[in-house]
Amino acid sequence: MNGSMPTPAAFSAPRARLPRAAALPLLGLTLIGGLAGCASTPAPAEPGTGSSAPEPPAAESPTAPEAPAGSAFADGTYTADGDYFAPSGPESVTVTVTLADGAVADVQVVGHATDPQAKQHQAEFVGGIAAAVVGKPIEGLAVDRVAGSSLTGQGFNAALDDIRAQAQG
Amino acid sequence: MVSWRFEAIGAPWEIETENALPQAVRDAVSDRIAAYDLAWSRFRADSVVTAIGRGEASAEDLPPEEREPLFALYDVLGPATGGRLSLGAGAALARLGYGPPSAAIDVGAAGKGHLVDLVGDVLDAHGVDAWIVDASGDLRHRGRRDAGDGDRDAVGAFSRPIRVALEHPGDPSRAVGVVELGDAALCASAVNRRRWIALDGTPVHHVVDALTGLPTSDIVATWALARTALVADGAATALFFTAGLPAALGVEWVRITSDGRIQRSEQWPGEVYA
Repeated sequence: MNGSMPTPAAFSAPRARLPRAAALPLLGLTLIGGLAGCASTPAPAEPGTGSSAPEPPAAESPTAPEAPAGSAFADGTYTADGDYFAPSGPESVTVTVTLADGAVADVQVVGHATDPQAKQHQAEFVGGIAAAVVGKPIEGLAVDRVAGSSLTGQGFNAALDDIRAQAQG
Repeated sequence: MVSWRFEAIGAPWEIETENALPQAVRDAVSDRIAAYDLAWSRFRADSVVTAIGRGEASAEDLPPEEREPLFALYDVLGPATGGRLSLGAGAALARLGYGPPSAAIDVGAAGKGHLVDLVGDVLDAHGVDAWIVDASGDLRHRGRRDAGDGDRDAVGAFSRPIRVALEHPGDPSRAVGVVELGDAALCASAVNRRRWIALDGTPVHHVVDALTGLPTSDIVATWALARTALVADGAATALFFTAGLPAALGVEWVRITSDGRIQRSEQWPGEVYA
């Protein structure tokens, strides 16, 4: 099967949006606090960390404005595109984040897959298990990162970086 | 907090740190990745494993500090999976020096995770206090070591676990669960997108039963949480073959069966949306 696959070199074309400016003061520091505040379940202990549980999230947002540079974010709605590499070439997602009181009030993710084969591939798989495994929309989960095999998560994560820069600036 | 994104071993990578990494550190990361690739890539004609496959080198020529933890992990995961996860036919003999070293050593099951750890080591060695290394499905977080009772807002993500969504393998807009990651690694693997495996240059998601030579069919996606990305990556692959991972690995996991059930380890510390 490997013999029929494209070589990695076939995908080494530079990303249209990369490299980005290095210094992106990320919303993450405060954003994540706000995100954690959205969590409906208590933080479980991480294996092997021995770290204490996160502090009560409710106390974080009010203190954010006093935090050092990189933590002050303006309320509003921010939109950014994030790129990732599909085998067919660059694809993108558009992420829209609404901030209120320094926390994430809403997140929307719109995919822009253009490759028919990728769509078909996804559809075939969805047809196999989607009915049984529904999951939840990522946009409602207030997460910092996405871990999966599709690489779409890379686009999501990249767009979040851009939004953090916008909100801080 | 800044993000540095680049392409390496055919996959998008992202490193988040509190401050921009000096060029010297970036160069050290790039050098580390290049050195690993030169030793272990099955896709390079000039790699050590390719030379081993041609009979022009032996496992002894692989960097000991890399091969020892890798081989040790395979030595655990091989028996745990009934031999279905292995370095490749003949690899065990080759690394022991028996017979012609004709083995095709394939560390695709854990190599990218291992490299995530090694990149983290580079950051540690350069005094980078906290970081997130995300290599497209292989993710490791290091929190600030002095983030105790101090000003947590000042250190943000690195003073607490980050929340990571487990992406639905059939619908990237949805998640099948969420887990918090603090000073640990989370690696994802899925067999549904073999085309994506060629993309990142490794067979991480291309899970083939070493006994039958056929792709696995019972499990379609896995996530493994462990202290290192090496272990998490290898476990994510092994989970296609068994749910009976040795406890000593310290792995917690989630996986999706081909008939649409979500399974998880008893102590899985996150949520799943079954």
